[in-house]
Amino acid sequence: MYAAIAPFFLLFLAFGVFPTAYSLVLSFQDWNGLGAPEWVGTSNFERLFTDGTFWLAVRNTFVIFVLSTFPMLAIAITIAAMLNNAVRYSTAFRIAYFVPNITSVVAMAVLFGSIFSDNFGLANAALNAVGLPDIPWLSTPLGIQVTIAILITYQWTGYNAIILLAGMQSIGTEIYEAAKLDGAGPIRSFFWMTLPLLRPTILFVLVISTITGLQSFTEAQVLTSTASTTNPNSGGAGQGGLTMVLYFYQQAFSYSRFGYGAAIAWGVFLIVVVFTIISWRFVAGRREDKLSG
Amino acid sequence: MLIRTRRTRWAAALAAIAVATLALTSCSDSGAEGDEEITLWTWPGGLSETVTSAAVSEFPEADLEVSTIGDDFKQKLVTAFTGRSGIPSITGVKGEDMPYFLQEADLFTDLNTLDIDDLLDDFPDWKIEEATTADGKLIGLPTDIGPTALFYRTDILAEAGLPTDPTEVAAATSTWEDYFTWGEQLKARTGTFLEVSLSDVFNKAMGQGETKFVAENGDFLGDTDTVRAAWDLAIDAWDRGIVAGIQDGSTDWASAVSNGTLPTLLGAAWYQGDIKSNAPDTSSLWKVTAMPGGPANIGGSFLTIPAATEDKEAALEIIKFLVSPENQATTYSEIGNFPSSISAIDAPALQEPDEFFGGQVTTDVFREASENMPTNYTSPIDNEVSAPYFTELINIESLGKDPEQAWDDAVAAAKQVWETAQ
Repeated sequence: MYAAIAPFFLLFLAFGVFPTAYSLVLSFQDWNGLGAPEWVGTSNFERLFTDGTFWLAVRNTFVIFVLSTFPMLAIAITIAAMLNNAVRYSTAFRIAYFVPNITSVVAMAVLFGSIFSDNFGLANAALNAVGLPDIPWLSTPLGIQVTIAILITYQWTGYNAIILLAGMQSIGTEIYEAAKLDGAGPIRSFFWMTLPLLRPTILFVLVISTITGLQSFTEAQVLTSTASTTNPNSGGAGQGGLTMVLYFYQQAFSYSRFGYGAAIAWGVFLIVVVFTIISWRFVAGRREDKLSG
Repeated sequence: MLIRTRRTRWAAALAAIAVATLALTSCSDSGAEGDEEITLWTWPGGLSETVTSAAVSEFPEADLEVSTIGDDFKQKLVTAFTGRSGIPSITGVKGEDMPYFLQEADLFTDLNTLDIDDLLDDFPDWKIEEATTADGKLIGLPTDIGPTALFYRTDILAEAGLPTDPTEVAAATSTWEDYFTWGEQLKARTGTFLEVSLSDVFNKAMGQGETKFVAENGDFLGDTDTVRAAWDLAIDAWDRGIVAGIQDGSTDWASAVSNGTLPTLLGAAWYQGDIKSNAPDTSSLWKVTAMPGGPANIGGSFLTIPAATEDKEAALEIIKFLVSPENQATTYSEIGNFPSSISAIDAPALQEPDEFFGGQVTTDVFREASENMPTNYTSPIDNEVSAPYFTELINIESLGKDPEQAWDDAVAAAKQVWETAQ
């Protein structure tokens, strides 16, 4: 019996539990990756608290999170509603929307880097074609954050739309028929029935988006990477693309400060936990109010 | 009964897995003892492929396997060392990573314990010093060095009515001041930019100095005149409006180099590989001449033998082959890595005209640079301490930050990094 589930648990022990536990040990040490680690007590965490760059990374991460998650949720719900009513080719549409999610993030980020490059990018060429001026996508902090947010939105909208679609399809048709008899139009029944009944699914999507969004790394790393070795993984202009996990990567892997990197990773973990709970409360809490009221 | 058969089956499966695991482990064990195979790690652009494949056929008994590892080469090497498995028998170490690995010199073979005496004379002393620990262990032999030069587009210069001959260009741009003034003319007449970015000016100017950001005795040098002078040069170029503000190696950079927006580039010898691969259409339009303000010393790598390597003598023989004058000459003509071997520079292959540079013999420019370039000590934390300066220079470029404020912030941040590393 246990043998059947053992492979998962063995792998999880080796690649999940052990690294997690070891990174906790590491966060109390100073280690350059090769020599002997040295115990330094809580000094990594003390440094973390007063490290302006870390808090800048926290801020950047939240800006990117807000810029990506909420538009994504709105678009995903709209797409799901449209897919739900699609008569023809619905499977083809679902596949089409899901494809970005299974495409390599690095490949997409490289492509986005070309599209949004300042001087010769497709995005600015399109803006110029309709008479608008260039936008410095990748050379201002906000520009970088918007570009990363667009990339994340592109990648995850289809995935979330499919999950929301599943949620929509689990809502019984009889209540829509009842609403129709009472004279509710499609818009009205969407806002007053679909959305409230979809709340558990939205909760799930929001929690997953919080967890992945606060750990965004690849998009920022690839979009702001430079070929030069002088200032690696610094997050581009104004360090606008320096997310929390990118900062961890920079400290641990560019500068071989594995102890401090581990402390950053645990800082990220705490922040993710706190905000997952908040977004849980945000959606779930309101439902309880309604039920009791 | 049924349950029992199932159990037996699972037991059998488990046993099979256990046996397979054992078999795999023992496989890798025997691999580590490795008397058959010699592995060599390098990165794209590290060694010429002609040379590595020649090495494979030159040493049939060594069964040489060459792996070209992209992305974060240093990190992959560190992982191999930390995991104590899959460590290559011979590995490249990039010049900028050498200070880091020197801290853990025990992981490498001290080449002084092997027979290299006849070899050492062929390399510049300062390059050998870069791979030598304080107590005299030599952990690597240099594959190339990074003398810098000024690359320029003759067609754009001609368009601006400026002389295009290398000697004339060198004369017109001998100091940074002259170079910037010359760049202003170029910009006024053709609308092009002289410099890629502020970071680029700063980095090249730092490469011309005798010191970097941290002294050999560990002192903080981030507020010294050397750093300030390099910073002021970058700001001067910025004020004159001759800096494009493009990230080196980005898509924008490649486009700007191809379409002539950036007709001048400062870079080490190996930089010509980047230019050739990113702007193949501009072949024959380029020339190369001395860098303004004298040559800088940027990059240049090593080959090392990790301590875990069984057959160190065989590994050394292969390294000797790879860095032999003839093979370094081949590497230069193929990918632009400038020979670390003094006698390689005189090899006939290096006196061949290069079509990409309009038939110019580029070796002469880099040879002269290599004879005059400064040597400087790089601390293991140099990258980290210097990072704030580059961050702040980008802030000036993209956010219009006040340069004086940026300088103060950079020095403060660099000092903080230096303090936490004490």
